[in-house]
Parts: sequence; structure tokens; C-alpha cells
Amino acid sequence: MIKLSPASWLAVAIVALVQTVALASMVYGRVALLRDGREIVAEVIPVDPRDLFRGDYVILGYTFGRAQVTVPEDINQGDRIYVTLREAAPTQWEVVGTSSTWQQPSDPSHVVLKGIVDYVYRAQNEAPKASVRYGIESYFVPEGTGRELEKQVQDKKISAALAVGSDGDVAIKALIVDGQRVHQEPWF
Amino acid sequence: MRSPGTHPEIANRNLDPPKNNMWSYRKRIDQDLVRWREAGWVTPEGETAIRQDLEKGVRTLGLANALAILSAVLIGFAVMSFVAANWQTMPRILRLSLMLAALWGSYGLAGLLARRGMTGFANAAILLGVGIFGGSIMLISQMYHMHGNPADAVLLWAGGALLAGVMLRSNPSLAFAMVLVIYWGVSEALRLEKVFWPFLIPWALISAAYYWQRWRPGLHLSGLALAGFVISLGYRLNDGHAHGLVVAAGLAVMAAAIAGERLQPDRPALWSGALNYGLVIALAGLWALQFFEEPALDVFILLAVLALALLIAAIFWGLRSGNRGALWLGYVGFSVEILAIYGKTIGTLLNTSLFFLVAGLIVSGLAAVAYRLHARGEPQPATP
Repeated sequence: MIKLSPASWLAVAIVALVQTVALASMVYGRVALLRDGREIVAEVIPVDPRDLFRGDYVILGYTFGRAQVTVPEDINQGDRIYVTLREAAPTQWEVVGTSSTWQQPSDPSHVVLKGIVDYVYRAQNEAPKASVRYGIESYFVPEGTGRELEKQVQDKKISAALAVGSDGDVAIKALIVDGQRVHQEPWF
Repeated sequence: MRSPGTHPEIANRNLDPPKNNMWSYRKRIDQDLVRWREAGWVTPEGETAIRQDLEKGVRTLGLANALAILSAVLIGFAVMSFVAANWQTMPRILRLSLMLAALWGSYGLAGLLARRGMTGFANAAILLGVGIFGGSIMLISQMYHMHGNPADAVLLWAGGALLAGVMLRSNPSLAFAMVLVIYWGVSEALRLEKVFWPFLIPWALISAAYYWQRWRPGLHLSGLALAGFVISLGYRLNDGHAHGLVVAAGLAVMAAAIAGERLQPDRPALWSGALNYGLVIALAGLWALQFFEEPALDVFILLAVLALALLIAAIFWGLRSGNRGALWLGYVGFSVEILAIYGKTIGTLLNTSLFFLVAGLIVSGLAAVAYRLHARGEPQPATP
């Protein structure tokens, strides 16, 4: 930017505009998912029961995420995976099957989540099992409220209200503590 | 008189245009001024005037610009820690609007500063805008509880930095883009536990921007990043034992640089840079073969001799062609190689005194070679 001509002002505007569009599309994609996605409620299993609220966000674990997902033989760490779930009992979702490509669930009550294989555990004479990350493993809470919420959560069950898109994308809508939704915000 | 340790060959070659390398320029002119005054070419008043002019250039603009860049980095960090502190008492729409206002404000400020000819400050404001773009990505991820792959966010940020760097021709922003891409490549390689080839795509784009800008420090950043990538191949390919390939790649780069210098002698900086990064790659591969792979003794001795020969060749080349980088790599590499061999062999086959004797003989031979070269390279005395 040695000399600034009207053309350079255009360059400045283009940079700011392209970056604004990038940020806006991030927000829009998320809001569309939260608004249009199918809502499911899934039970949360604490990752470390002694320290659920580390700082000001919660680390959330799911029964269909941690080390127990049977995956196809040829799957590798870092691969994309589609996991089909079925609600066995209220908020208890269990894995029906996994695939490396998107597949329409045979039963309309089933739901398919898109995830990334975090780690594959291979044992002899057994199908490999994997930890799967869906991008719904953390929930930020306002500064200073983490510890308070932690007290509230003890001995109570928490679950997460999730929005699932038609392509398997998934987002957290809210946390549900003892039947009450906490910290749910408007979309914008 | 020249201070000891300055190689005459190198001092006589003007490798860098002065503006690109203010510090070495100042050092050189300091020495030259004394010589010129003693030769009677420059009056003492002239020398004082030149020195004052130099001081002014460095002290005011250089320092102010450096401080401006630092302040942009600090404010960028302030924005990010503000984000991390979870300002969730504000509605989301307000948070988003604030971020966008800060983004547009930074770029607008950059435009105003550039218009007034304050290029350094304008670059700092651009860097601040890029920092706010990254902070906004993190803010949005946090606001919507997106816990996806953090590396994707870094890549998006790097894209924004590259865009700003190219559109506004801002070198600090381009440098930051490369830093982000390196971070992205390393974290993806660690996550996937394999060679992360996609790294080469943004690397090539940013390197092309450096070349287009004719920005030499940026090209060094590119060379460093690519050398690191090639060296990492040795630990990833062939079950982590591909260091021979790394050595071959490094030697091939060096050969290409030497051939290139013959074919296109009008671009010495490009070829000497390529030669030095080739040397770094070849040495890293040789060191991995010697000290990481635990080879048999005869193989180890062969490799050590090869490494020392390569280093002596680098010093020789550095002196002959005025390639200061090769010279220093040669000296430093030689010392490290000797120390590493010492560490590996002490108490095993060779005893300490024998080792020092051998090392001493090698170094004295090197000194003799260096002395002869020095004597040959010494220009006819210009000073009375």
C-alpha cells in the first residue's frame, strides 16, 4: 500500500467485505442448523465427574461417542464417519450402524450424525471400535457461572438438546439440567 | 582495517540492497566509513553528516513502525482474550456487530494511514484487522458452541490474512498467513498421524505472494516451512524410517541450486537461498540417520564422514561464492556434528583423547584450507 488511490480504497473494502461474508456465513450456517434441524435430546455422560466445569465451559461426553462405536474395518483416525442412532429409551441414544458415506436411515425415527474419528482401537478377532467427535463436546457458559452450575448438576442428570441437519451436521441448542433448559440464547 | 572475522569476499559483495537489511547495512557502512575517512575520500564533517542521517532513519521510522506492529499484535491479543473471557451478558447480535465494527474500523484506519504515506502504521492496522478477523472466528465458534476441528478455523483465518496481504500488498499480513498455515499443517499432521500433503497448497499460494511482492524475508519463511515439511517426511514415510530420502531430497535441492546458479547467474540470492535450505534438509536427514536410527558402527562412521565432508564443502562454497548463510551453516553444523559424535562415541569405541586428536586434526586441516582461501581472496590493499 505505498500509494493509495481510489482503487486501493476498493481493495480495502473488498478485504473487509470478504472477511465479513466469511463470518456471516459461519453464523448463518449455524443458525440455519439450529432453526431447521431435527431436535433430539441425548443424555450426557460427564467426562471427568470431579471436574465437569473446567473454567467456563463444560466438556460433554455421549454414549455414542466414546470408545464404543463399532466402525468399518477400513476406517482411519481423522476420517469422516456417519453414525446412525436409535432412541432405545428416552434420551438414551444407541448406535445402530456406522458408515463412511452418508446413508438415508431405513427407519425414520433413526437419526444420522456426522462425526470425525478421533481414535481407533483395534483388537484381535473383533471389529475395530472408535472414539467419535461430533463437534458437540463443549458448551460455553457465562464467566463465573461454571462452578454454580456444577453444584446444580451434581446428582442430577444432564442432557443436551441437539439440532441435527439433513446432512448429519449437529449443533447444541441448550443444556437440560433436571428438565430445565439452561443458558439458551436467541439465535442471533 | 577490517575487523577480524569478516570475510573479505563477503564484505566486498553487496548481497542485500540496503533497505532490505537495515542492520547489516549499518554495520557495513560503519566499517566502510572509517576506511573511507582514513583514505581521505570522506571528510570528517561528511562522515558525521552521514552518521546523523543514518541515525535519523533508523531511530524514528524503524522504531515507530516496529512499535506499531507490536501494538497491533498486543491489541489483537487483547481482542482474543476478551473473547475468551466470555462476554455473554451481551446479546449475540451486539457481540457480532461490535466485532464487525472493529474489523471495518481497522481496515478503514489502514486506508487512512496509507493515504497519509504512513506505510508502517498502515501495515500495523491491517495486521490488527486480520487479528480481529481471527478473534471473530473464535467468538462465533464459542457463541454457537462449535467444537469442530480447530484447525479448520485456523485455515479460514490464514485465508483472511492472505487475502488482506495480497489485496493491500501488506508483507506483515502475508508473514502472519504463513505462520498460521504452519500451525495448521503441524496440528493436522499430529491429529491425523500421517504426512499432511494438503499443507503444500496454501504454502505454495503464500510463497507465490512473497515472490510477487519481491519480499526476501518472506521467501526465507517459505524456505524454512518447506524444509521443515521435507524433514518431517523422514519421520512419517516408510514407517518413520525415510531419512535417506530426506538426505537425497536435500542433496537434490543443493545440486539444482548449483546448476541454477550456472544457468541463470543473474539471480544469486535465489540460488544461494535454495542451496542453504537444501543443506539444512540434507543435514537434518543425516543427523536422523546417525543419531536417531542407531546404525551399526561402520554405517555410523560412513555417515559421520559424509556429514563432515558436506559441512566442509558448505564452508568452502560459502567462502568461494560469498554465500554467508552456507558459511555459517557450515561452521555451526560442523560444531554440532563434532559435539554429537563426541556424545555418541564417548566411553564406547573411541576414547576421549583419541577423539579430540582426530577432531583437532580435522579442524586444523580446515583452518589451513580456510587460511589459503582467505589469502587468495584478499584483495590488493586499498588502504594506505
